[in-house]
Amino acid sequence: MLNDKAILVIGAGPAGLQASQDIAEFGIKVVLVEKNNELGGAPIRWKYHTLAPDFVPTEKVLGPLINYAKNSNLITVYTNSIVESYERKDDHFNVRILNLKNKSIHYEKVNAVIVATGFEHFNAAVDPRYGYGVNPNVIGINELEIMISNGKILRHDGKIPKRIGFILCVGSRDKATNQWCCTVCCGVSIKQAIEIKKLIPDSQIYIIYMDIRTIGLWEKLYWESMEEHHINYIRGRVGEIYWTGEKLLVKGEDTLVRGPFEALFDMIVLAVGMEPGEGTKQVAKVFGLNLNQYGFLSPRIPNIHYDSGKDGIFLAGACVAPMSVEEAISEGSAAALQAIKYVMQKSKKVP
Amino acid sequence: MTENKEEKKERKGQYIIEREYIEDERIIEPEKLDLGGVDASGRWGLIILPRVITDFDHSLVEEVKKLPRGKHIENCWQCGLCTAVCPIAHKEPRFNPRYFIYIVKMGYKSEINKLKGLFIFAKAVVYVLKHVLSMLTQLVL
Repeated sequence: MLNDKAILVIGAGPAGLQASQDIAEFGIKVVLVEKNNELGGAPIRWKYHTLAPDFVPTEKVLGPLINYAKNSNLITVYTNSIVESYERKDDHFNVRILNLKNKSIHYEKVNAVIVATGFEHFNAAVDPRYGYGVNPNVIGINELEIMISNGKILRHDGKIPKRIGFILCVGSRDKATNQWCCTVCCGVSIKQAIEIKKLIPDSQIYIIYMDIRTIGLWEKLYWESMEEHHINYIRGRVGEIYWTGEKLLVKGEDTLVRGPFEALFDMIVLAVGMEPGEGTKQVAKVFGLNLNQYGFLSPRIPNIHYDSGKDGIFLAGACVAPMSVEEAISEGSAAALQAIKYVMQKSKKVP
Repeated sequence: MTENKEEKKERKGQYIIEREYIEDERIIEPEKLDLGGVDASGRWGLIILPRVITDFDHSLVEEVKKLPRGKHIENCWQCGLCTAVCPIAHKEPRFNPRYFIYIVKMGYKSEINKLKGLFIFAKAVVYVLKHVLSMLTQLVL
């Protein structure tokens, strides 16, 4: 009954991969379209070393999903591709898939669509306070994650940094840039701080925060970082960073002391937030999906993420709201179930 | 009235607008200063030191960690329960145990220096409390 049915999944990150596997295990064909060259989404593209809060290697979580998508007979993978347009015919969609590299065009007939286009990291150069891209040794958490994956944390001159500062909420919770909380950067930054402390035991680490939002079980990172790894927390914001030619002069306020500080750091890590990427905007345009005031895909009811409000189109993952890998995986599963339910209901011939 | 005026004259930096926001330690007013023939004594040579924290000095916290109960200082996450139940903090707002732990942990030397004298006051209060308590217990028992 379902052999001739297919579901289109756009985006091969944690949500899209989980949705694809669940659908394929039901015996329904999957057309998986990924804009980038490799499967896995942001965690693979940015080489996340481990995932918060339990330091689980990223491969352990995403590896099985990627392998399943690559090896399953029921999943057709299109990498370097986007969905360009679609046509609605009776109970199915005829989608036109464009390969961005060789400009070839494929047509697929699908019965439902899952959009899981994910997020992009905030570009810290947009906020000039930190001198990202101008000052050496001012890096994003995404770049630090690559350094941790390589097992070496080095300054631009090849020296090992001794005093490292993390600035939280860069491009998050800020009226001038992005107003929302990315929900994961506190936990990710603290996780990275602990990983640095393991790699460079004599380093001094300062986390400059306005609130620590280690929600749910992530809270243990916060305790562990202070009690076992002696990481310092400074409540306040950083106004300016100058490069002295050797070190970074960080100007900020410690709001617990109500005193401005000017201290020298070897390296500054910016906890850049999440924002909707170009892929999300493009898909929204093609399928006529609604975007909210922040640019994320807007579900029909904000509390029910999978329901796009459009017949046969379902949403999952960080294209709806900022979220962690574990949340994205369960959203992928949820959207898969909804899509399967939709396809089964449609295939019943009701007189 | 006249006594009051004399008292005010003795105060450092008395011509500074909003003087009460600046601690005495940060005001330098030289009694006699000669700058190449120009008299810069008193208010003419006045300097206000900045209140910017320039470094984190962790030498003090390392010392504290060597004390029997001091090794747990890293566990403090500034919840403020200690200040909430501290009887001295309720009498004297500058006496804030949460804050003391924080400035020692972060090594804010200038902030620590500001608190000189406060601990003598605190000890005196503790002494009085002890005696009051012992008297009370004697009365009760």
